[in-house]
Amino acid sequence: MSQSHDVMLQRLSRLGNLSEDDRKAIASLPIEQADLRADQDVARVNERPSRSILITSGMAATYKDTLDGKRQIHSFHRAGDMPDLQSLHLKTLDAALETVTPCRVGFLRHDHLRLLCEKHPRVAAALWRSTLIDASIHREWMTNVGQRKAPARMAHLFCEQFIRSAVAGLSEPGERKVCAFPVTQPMLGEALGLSNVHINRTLQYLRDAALISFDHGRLEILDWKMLVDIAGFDPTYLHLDDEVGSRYAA
Amino acid sequence: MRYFFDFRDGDTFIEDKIGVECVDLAAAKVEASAGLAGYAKDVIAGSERREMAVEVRTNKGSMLTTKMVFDIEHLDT
Repeated sequence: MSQSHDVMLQRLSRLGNLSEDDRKAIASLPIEQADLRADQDVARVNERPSRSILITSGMAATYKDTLDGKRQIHSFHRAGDMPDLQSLHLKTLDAALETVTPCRVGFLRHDHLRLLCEKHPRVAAALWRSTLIDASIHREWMTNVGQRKAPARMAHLFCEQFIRSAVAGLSEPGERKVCAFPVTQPMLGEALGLSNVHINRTLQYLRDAALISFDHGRLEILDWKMLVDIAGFDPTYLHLDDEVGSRYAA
Repeated sequence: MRYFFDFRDGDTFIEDKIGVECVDLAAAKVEASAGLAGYAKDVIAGSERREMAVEVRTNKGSMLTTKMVFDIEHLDT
């Protein structure tokens, strides 16, 4: 069983009650692993892929470019995420995927996934739930970029990234709220719909208020409660299970 | 070159400790105006008068200042 199998099993176990038989089927799914460089296009708009991607380690982002060369990042993905899983049922990709850091990925062939879903309905439901949560995250991001002011918008992204890291077991152990968030300043701008200068100002504002530290791709949340308040952050949209969710409720 | 964009909003001053890589001063001007416009969009609603500026500098010193003044003029009828 490869690292990708391990990551996929962990993720799908969080998304549904899998039987021993389900877990065995996932463990024996053929997965082709690959190690990718940072800043590499993994999937492009209008492609018709015959396989979906599992992020096994590292960070990737989905995005779309406009005619005049602007980019909107739709979400950041970490280990366990399957950012183009919708291509299993929608033939043509409508967003691109790029690596942010070096990534290990697992390629899941659609014919194998279909067979897995036919024989293991609980796995199918977990995969369905995964794409539904991705859609929920996109709705939240639309609300964020469209309606929240810059400090709330950035605070919201930081809250989300920390929780998603923590839930995937990727945050630093201990009492402090620390996770890797290895994005460049222009990428933050592309995710939040803010100019570089506005990003700097907003980061400085959150730092001066002693809410976060953010250096060299390392995010530490210094005052969780205040950051949640500023963001108006409600983790319901992440659809965490109750026990995990209650830890991060406002 | 790395350009730094310090914000002024009334008496509040926020120093840019990060900076942005710009190919030349013209690009820095675009960054400054986009930053100022974006910030103004967030804060102007509900204001009566507001003076905002983005001051652009490099390690060689100050390069330029972009300013925006918002004012509501009440007209007697």
